[in-house]
Amino acid sequence: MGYNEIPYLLVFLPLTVLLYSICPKKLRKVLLTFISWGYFILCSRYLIVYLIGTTVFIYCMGIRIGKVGEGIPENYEILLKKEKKSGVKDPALTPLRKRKALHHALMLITVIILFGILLVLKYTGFFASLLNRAGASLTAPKFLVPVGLSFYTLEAVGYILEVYWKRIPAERDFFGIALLIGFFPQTMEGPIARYGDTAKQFTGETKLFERTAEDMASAIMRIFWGMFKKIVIADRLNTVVANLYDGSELPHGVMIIVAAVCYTVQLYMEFSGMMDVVIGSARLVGIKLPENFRQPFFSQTASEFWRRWHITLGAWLKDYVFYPIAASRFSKDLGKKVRKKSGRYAAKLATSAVALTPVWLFNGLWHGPQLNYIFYGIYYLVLLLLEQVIDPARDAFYAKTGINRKGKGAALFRILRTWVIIFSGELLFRANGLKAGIHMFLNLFHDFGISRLWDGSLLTLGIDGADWFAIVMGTVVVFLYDLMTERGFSIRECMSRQKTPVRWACYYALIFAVIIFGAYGTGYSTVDLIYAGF
Amino acid sequence: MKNIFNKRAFFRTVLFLVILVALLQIVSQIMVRLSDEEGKHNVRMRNYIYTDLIGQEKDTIDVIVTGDSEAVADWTPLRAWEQQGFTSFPAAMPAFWMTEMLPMVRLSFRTQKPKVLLFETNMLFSYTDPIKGTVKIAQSEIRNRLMIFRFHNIWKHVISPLPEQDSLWKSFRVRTEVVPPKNLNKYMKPSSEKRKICPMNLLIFDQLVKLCRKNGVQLVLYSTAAPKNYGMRKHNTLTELAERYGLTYIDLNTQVDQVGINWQTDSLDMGDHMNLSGAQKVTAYLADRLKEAVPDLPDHRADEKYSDWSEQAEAYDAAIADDLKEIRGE
Repeated sequence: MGYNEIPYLLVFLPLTVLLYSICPKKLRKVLLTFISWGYFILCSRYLIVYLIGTTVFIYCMGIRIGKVGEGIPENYEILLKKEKKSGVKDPALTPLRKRKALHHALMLITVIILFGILLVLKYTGFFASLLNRAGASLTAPKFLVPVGLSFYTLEAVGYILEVYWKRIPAERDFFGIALLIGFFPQTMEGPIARYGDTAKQFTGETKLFERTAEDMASAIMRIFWGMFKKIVIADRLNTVVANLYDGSELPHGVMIIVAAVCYTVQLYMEFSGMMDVVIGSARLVGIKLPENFRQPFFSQTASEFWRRWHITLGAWLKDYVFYPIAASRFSKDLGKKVRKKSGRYAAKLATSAVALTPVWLFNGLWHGPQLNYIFYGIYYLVLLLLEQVIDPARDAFYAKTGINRKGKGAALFRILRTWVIIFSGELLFRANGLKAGIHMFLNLFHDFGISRLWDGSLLTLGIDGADWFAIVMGTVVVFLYDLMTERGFSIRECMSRQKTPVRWACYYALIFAVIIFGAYGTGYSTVDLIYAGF
Repeated sequence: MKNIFNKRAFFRTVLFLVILVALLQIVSQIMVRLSDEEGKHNVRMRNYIYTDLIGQEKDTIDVIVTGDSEAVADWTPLRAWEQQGFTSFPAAMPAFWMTEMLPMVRLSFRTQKPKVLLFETNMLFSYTDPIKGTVKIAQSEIRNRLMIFRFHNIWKHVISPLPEQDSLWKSFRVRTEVVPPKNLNKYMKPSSEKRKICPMNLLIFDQLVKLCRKNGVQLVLYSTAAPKNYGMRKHNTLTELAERYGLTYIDLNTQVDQVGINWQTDSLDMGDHMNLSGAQKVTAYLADRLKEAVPDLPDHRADEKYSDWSEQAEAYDAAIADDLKEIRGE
């Protein structure tokens, strides 16, 4: 039961909001937990055992890690340094050392088990196929994967690491943990919530988000806005994308650009649209979820793009992979050595490379067991390192030419350049295997045939002129919305200031736009959520 | 901070929803009309049968025929009219699911008071998932009540040119291809085995029986002659099902000779569906059997009110005469 399906929107969600609203406040988190588990069962049936198992596991391990950690003083590192300086072993530190080792071991075991489950369920076949290519003959068992496994595993690991680093106390409210990783709107596609984002709302430490009638209306309209992106634009593009990427013949020339642009637009409309539905759904039950998109197509660099696209994944990787590695002794030592030998610039590059490599390999692999996802990660790794490599040259260029780097022209150029980077990345990401992706790149300038953009070729991709019209007009509407948001103009706030008839007219217009222009019913098939497959 | 449960908010919410439903109804009516006028329109494809059903004059249909592509291919209302003088409507679609069938029958009972519901049994044997099936029934019900959800794509014809479609004869589409079945050796070989019907389909069937009883409609089951889809296992199951509910069951697969089927001329696609010639024979035979089973089925042929049917039947005969001769090699 996807968030875009009628049973969710017309039955599950209204029923949940109704039950939540009449439920005594004290019991709301319990109710939400059972509703969330119910939703999970509807999606993955008996695979709920994985989710409940993970909840119980991190709940217990969190408390244990927290307890062991309590016995380690804040100044433990300083005491160790003092001992090292003095050269004399301090017997008083021995039990602390043991406790620290236990603390560390508990964290490691928990993280290994959590990632182990993910690896086994999702990647066994992939690794077996890699080994088979190298000559082995393994038959990998096929596992049923519970919905949202990749998402809730990251949430669980994040929570354990926060407790281990003593940034938060271990949660003693079981339902708080259950909702942290199992809250129903997040089940399929995130956002990847961190303890600090949502847990306090679930456990009642902070007052639940107040729901006024205006907030409810705004949340419902956000859901419709998300549905507009999903079923008016993304679902129509799905046919085109399937034809271009999965057809018997791979496209060439200008059709490769069409493929790259169409898939990027589809992915953005679908993922950001579903985030609107998810965030709107959560707000209906008083929970504020973190935003996952911030007008990514106005980014001027690849790194900025990743701060605006799938924000919660980027933030997770930054906090739990990048920073720990960048702050590790190995990274610091390497920085020192390179600085001595080759200077500060080279040291910065070396430390960045050390910290960014696992981040981007993880990012690629997290999306699924396919080589092109890994190469997608490597693609961004190379680009981000290149950004740093050419940094001095770029500064020199602007200084020499006198071009105003903050000017509108330069900004537009950088935005368009980032688009090329994004479209190329998504082409590789969506390609039907790595070979197909490389083949498409190589065929970009083979028989370019720009006339295919207007000679009717686009009408042979499974949709007609009217569908293209809906896609283009829909995309223009979303682009204008994003443009206004980027410039600081909030349409939602503007709407709330309008008189009721005007506001309602806008609401009806949006609802009817979704119903009339939606790609559903005769001639269309339901499109599964893309990110739910990752 | 305002509470969401204050009276004013409640009143406004109700008002908003009432206006929304009213708007949906108004737009639905407009779309149904536009769709009816635009007979060749793309949007009709799978939905044409709904437009045609709603478009029938109230309480003028004596027999509703439902089923999947088997019923679509083998029931020609004008042939039944010629044979026995009753009016009929094929509320059937290719790849029709039980979950779509029940809401459609409900819809037909809202505007018509038929005496008989003739049920082609093939769709009973497709699998229906309980949860997805329930959802599909709900979706179909919503779409049947708010037709905007069926005809929302009508705006597309302003932009895209419309594809030509075959003309229909009281919702029957003439198909003249002939592809005989390859092998009839195993067809209806004696067996005492049974083919299982999934629980969800049985549940829906049970609801259908109750719906018919409530509306005073006689439910008659039939299995069309189709070597590709039928055998003794299904026959045994259906015979038992009909006995359990006390229903008439006509299995044409056991009466091929009485129907007059010639597999060399009457099969559209290797024994899966009937072509025009087969449909003519099947409809005529079933019309006679229905008259036997339900003697009070009216004969309107002398009724002025139904002159349209007689006129169309004449035109239909003239239109198919050459096709029939060619198919039958006469």
